[in-house]
Amino acid sequence: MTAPGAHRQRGNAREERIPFSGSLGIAQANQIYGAIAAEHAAASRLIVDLEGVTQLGRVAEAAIVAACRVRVRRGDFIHIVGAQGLVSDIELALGTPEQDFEEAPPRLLEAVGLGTLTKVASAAALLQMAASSSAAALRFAFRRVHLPRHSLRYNIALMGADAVGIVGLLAALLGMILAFEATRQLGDLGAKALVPDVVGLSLIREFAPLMCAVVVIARNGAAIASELASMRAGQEVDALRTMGIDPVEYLVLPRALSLILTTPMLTIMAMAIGLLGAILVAILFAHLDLALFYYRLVEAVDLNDLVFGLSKSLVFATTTSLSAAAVGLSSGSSASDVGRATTHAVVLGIFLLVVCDALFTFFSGVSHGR
Amino acid sequence: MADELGIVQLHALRLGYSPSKVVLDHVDLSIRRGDVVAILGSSGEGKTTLLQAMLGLIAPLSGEVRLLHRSLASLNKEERSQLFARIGVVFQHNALFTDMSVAENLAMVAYQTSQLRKEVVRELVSLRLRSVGLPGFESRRPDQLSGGQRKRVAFARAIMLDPEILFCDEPTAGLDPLTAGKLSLLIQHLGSELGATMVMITHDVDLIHAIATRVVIVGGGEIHVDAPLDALRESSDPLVRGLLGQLIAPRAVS
Ligand SMILES: Nc1ncnc2c1ncn2[C@@H]1O[C@H](COP(=O)(O)OP(=O)(O)OP(=O)(O)O)[C@@H](O)[C@H]1O
Ligand SMILES: [Mg+2]
Repeated sequence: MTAPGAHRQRGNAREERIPFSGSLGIAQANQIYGAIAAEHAAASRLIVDLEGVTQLGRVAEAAIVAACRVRVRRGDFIHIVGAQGLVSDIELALGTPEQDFEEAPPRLLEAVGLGTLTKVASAAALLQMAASSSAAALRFAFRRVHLPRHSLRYNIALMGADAVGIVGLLAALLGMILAFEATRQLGDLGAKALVPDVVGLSLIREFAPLMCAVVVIARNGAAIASELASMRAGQEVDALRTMGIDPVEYLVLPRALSLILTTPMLTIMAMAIGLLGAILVAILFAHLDLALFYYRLVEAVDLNDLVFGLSKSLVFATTTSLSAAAVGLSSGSSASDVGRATTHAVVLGIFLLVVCDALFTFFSGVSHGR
Repeated sequence: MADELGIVQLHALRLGYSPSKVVLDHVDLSIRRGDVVAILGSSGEGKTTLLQAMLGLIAPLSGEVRLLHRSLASLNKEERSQLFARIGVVFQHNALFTDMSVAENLAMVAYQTSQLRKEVVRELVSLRLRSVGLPGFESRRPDQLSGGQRKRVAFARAIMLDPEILFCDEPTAGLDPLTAGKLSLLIQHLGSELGATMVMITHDVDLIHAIATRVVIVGGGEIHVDAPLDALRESSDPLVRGLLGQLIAPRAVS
């Protein structure tokens, strides 16, 4: 009848009786836990009285067991009275050792579920998320760490940090190529001094955002589509819906947010590395002076160009993640559908990329040519 | 009593994947609290389609689905979430989240659809795993389990919050007879423990014999048979005899 580990306070034990009655289910579980586990000054003999209980659901039973464990740890003496079946079930549960398991903290689940929207709504939280995600991206840039697939941080690590190498390499090459070509063309015209203008503007306004978007589509758009499509095939999306969880919030939002946060960061990095590549070529092959390069660059490129390039990358990240998610979630349920969804997502992503880029160019041209 | 109305009600339901391709028509079904319904039918007749309609996973072409006295079409997100916290579903392919541990798979149901505190959820996870015969499996990942064990986890997840209705799609299909037998014992045990209403698609005659109170046979684009199991033992309907063969007293074949 006694719970393990309760042998102190035999002589002057203070007795405490907590009676329960009626039908106990999920709605009462937290209250039950609170009533039993409540902090008391002195260790005592606790009687959990279930005589009046007509029905005890398993959720309520778990609440009683969990709370009794707390009391036992505090050194209390637990006595459970009530219908034989109920008492023996609870005593049996108390007798089995508490299982320790790694568990995603609820905050994490909340962050990728309903909680995300409300969090995003506040600007402070957004800033904090951006800060923590950049920090995470930095940390993960050098070391892969296992995180649950659905967490925002995991997605940011996957989408941002893992792409740093390839984006950096491509950006350096792109900067060099641009500088080479510009030197050749402008050199013929005797306007080599304009190389920094041309390279800087085209990198920041056009090529860095575009190149990053292509990498992001190939890596992340494809990954999002295939992950979601295979979750559809495995009925996990249906399972979410029958748990009353919106798959878009639970699955799409963390992925889309991660991509929207990481793509502009990658783009900034690509701009910087691209410029370094260009400077290298300009100095070594075009024999431009570093100071001149810097001077021309600062003259030619202003904040508007940077904002223009980054707005593009934000839009590209949004269209890529949302189109890939839409393709993945609407895919059929066979294995070949997963492959099809992946291909489809990449093609659609690139199509949208070019269309959006054209729109950007058109509207910036209109506002410029005024 | 509201329960007399049935906690799963299908009214004049027409189901299909396009208006020109109707899978099931004229579906009228009322499942009462305590019923254990076995849904049978040949492959491709629309059993899974019927189940998906009951769960609101596909919208009917016409007609109405009421679950726990609420029309599925009229629910907003909040109500939907509250309603679905009261049912459990075991999917044909288990639908476990492969990138979460077994415990996380179970716990997420509670965290997402109830306000239960963390301590209670943890205890409940252990309790459920013990009750499906998988104590100590908390930290395993679903891909480290056998097919039968995965099915048990899927059951544990489905019954996590004491559901009022438990839906299962072919719970014993694809398992060897021994494992299937153990699983049907488990289903039987869980069913009586929960006192839940059960709706299962199954062709497992042993399982049907053990727990079903009512048999629904889908065939020819409609509900072909809807009757208590006992009423079917003497049936001469070829579809019934074909699907429930062993259960029915043998007769001379014409
Ligand atoms: N997503 C879908 N789109 C179009 N048609 C579908 C879809 N899913 C099923 N069908 C068709 O609907 C019919 C009923 O399919 P359903 O999956 O409900 O059959 P079932 O009775 O569950 O069969 P099984 O015993 O093989 O699981 C089949 O003819 C099938 O081809
Ligand atoms: Mg089926």
